[in-house]
Amino acid sequence: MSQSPSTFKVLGLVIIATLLGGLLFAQDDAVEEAKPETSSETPAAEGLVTEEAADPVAEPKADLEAVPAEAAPEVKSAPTPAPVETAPATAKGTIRKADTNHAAWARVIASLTVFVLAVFVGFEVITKVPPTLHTPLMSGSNAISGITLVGAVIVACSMSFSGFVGFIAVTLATVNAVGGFMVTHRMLAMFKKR
Amino acid sequence: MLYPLVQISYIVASILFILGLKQMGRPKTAVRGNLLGASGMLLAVVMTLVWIANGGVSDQAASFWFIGAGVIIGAAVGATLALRVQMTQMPQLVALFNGFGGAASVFVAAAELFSRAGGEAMTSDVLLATAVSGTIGAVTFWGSLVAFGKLQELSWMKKPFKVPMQHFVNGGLTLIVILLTVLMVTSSSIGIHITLYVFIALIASALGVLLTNPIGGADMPVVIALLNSYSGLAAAATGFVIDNNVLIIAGSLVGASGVILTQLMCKAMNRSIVNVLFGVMDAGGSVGDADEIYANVRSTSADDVALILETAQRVVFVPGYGMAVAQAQHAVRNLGKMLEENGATVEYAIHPVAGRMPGHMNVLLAEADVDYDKLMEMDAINPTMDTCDVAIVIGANDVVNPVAKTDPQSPIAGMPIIDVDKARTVIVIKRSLSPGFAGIPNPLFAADNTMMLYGDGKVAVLEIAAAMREG
Repeated sequence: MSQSPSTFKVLGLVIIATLLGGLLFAQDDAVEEAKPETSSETPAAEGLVTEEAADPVAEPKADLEAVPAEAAPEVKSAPTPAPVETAPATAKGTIRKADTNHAAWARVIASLTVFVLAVFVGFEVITKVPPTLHTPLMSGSNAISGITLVGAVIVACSMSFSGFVGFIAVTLATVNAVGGFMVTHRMLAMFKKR
Repeated sequence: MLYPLVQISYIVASILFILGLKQMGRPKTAVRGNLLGASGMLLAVVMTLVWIANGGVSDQAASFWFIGAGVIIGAAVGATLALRVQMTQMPQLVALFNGFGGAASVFVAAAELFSRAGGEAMTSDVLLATAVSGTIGAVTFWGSLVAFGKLQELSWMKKPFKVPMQHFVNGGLTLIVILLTVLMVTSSSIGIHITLYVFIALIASALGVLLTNPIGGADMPVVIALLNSYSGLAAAATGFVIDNNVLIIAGSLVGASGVILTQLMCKAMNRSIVNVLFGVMDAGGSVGDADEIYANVRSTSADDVALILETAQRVVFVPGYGMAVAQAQHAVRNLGKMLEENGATVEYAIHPVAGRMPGHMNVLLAEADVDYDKLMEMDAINPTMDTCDVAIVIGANDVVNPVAKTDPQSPIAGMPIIDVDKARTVIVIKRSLSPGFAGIPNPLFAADNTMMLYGDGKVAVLEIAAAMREG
């Protein structure tokens, strides 16, 4: 009986984390949809503008964190006057400024929220594990930290230098994950009651 | 439509990780818990591959050569290590895997950074995450390698090398890393980002070596637990770099579990984490002269021990890492079985820091087919130690040293110990009177109710068993 309250607590935290994660995904989708529009200008020019635009914005030195967020709308509003769309485009641009600023922050905050909540879930889940299981738990959780593999395959999918660096990461993370889960299984099999 | 599906699979994977960890906390469900975790990992990776194959990452055609090669090599190496390792070497292996996880984070962040070359620079929050990922990852990797070397008892790593003004050097390097991170986050040039990242990773590597270098023997369980936590945090930081939730969630779960185990280990040694990481163990000041303490040590023979055990009703084994080194766990279990057939109750008292990583001793005894419900925690067995006829200490020293309770000046003062001195008879199986990790003499060996049985742990136990069979 004593386990049920903590299980509920864990489930509650999972649900909260999931909901917030869901919000985050929604935000991401919005950004994804917005992206093609902004990149419809020549990509090379945009790259140049980004670097030039960053300098004047850096002058006010208001807030280091805010620099990229403010730099982004600058990029978008600069090329807009050139194309045929005139009045409605600028109006759209001003809405965008607030939007992108907001979205950039929301993304970071949502990630942080997920992080913080997951830490608490971790504390909730791990406390009161009997010492008998400390070693398997440690090697098992260690294997879970091999989740970097997901990141590694994402960066390793191109035939380039960064892809090669990704290859090293894939190899290391796979050793961690595969080896970790297997050795944990081997250990736990010994704990089975005969 | 694929993108949300992939993200949902990440949520499912996260839930599997959480449930898996939860189930790993109970012996009955632990195997299933581990499998849940593994299937969560498989799900997340497969869905990511599907996403990549459908052009989710870039507009160019995805290449699977690097991924395929990496997975095959990694799986082969990991599986070989996992199947070949001996249970006594488990701490080394976990340290090594930890290190690989940390290094993977360094390389993922690096690859993400390099892929931006000639393109759009990262925003400052992502840059910060990249720097953090590189720092924690590099510290984890090199720290784990040093820990691996120490645990493997590589001869050239036995003695930590001396660094003048260690704390200042470490502090200085930490400051430089922070400074470079600030420079990196505030810069807008990709070239500068990459250069600074490389320097951050290099300095963090040095820091990882220097931080772990002075920490020795008895503190290893704490270090392993802490590095475990770091490898999780590195994965979480990488999750921020590539904006991926499953990395953040899994990483922080592991980070939290590592922190909890670190706390438990520190508590078991009555030391703070700061003390373990930065404090050097003082040589025992008022402990006294070993010769004086050991003046009245009585030694015994296997035959005499067998006679005592014949009539014992309750026998408690107190194993230490020395038992594992002597590979005596199977012999101990056989002796235990014999005693049980003789009508005695046999238990095993496990100190929380017995062995070289949290719970290590339990794994070693489980390998020798000792039922886990016979393994008693220190707090559970201490109150009943006075009803124990014979306590057999094998390969343990500091964890049964009564000085921890009697002498506040001792380096192990306040460390909870197993109260073997309360047992009617204490038999200590040990090669010699040499001190344990803490480097202090143990008055238990000279107590009136203690008898020393000198010799190799396995040979001694086999001799006792043989003598009992004859008698």
